[in-house]
Amino acid sequence: MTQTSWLDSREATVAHIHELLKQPMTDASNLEIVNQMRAQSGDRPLTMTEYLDVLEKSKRGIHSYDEVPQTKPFFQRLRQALKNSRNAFKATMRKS
Amino acid sequence: MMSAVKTLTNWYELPWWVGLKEVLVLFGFVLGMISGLIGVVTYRRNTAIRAQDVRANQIRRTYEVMVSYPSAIRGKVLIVTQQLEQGLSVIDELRQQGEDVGQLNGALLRIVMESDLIELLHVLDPYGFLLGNQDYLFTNEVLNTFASEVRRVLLN
Repeated sequence: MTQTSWLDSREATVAHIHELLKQPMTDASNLEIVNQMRAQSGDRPLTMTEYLDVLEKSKRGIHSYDEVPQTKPFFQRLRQALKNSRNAFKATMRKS
Repeated sequence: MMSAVKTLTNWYELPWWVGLKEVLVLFGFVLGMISGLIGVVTYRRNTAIRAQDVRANQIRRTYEVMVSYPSAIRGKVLIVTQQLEQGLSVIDELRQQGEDVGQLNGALLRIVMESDLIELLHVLDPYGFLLGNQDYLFTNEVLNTFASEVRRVLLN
């Protein structure tokens, strides 16, 4: 109870996350963290190719926990892609 | 006898009675449609209320199960939930402010790593619980999520 953690207030959480954002987030370090979590739950570690594969599939909407391991039909993907590009455009405009 | 028949036939063919019959048939159609509509709406409303009752019962039973857990686990659940919720809300805010999405995903990964989510899952064993009590699989998304995991666990 006498320890402070980043849960105490919202500013502490924001500061903690800014510290995390300063770390270098390469694919290798992310893979390291993912493998640590997998070791905690008893899964085998992933290799870099497998990890990049899973990332690509997640971006395309294929998840390992889905019953139907395939992408959604064409027009849904089209709408999602348009939404993504619209959001990216808005983010860039907001930043500058 | 013949005069009785003649009188009755006269009454049957009187213009006001013929007109009234026509009006009744017309309005009968309209009133029949309206009462059918009311019946359908009432049936759907009653079905919705019954579904609400079933869902409320499920939520109450889940709450009772949650409350019956030992307090150490409940404390841990509270802490992990708070960490994940607060971290997620701040990351959402930063994403709306336009930070880099890849960096934010990395930050989310590290937040999940720091919170003892996996220990908590080991302690609670949600898969085992849901395997044993399938009544609690009442969310379609949860059902779909766990179906492949259950298959993987059972087939391995």
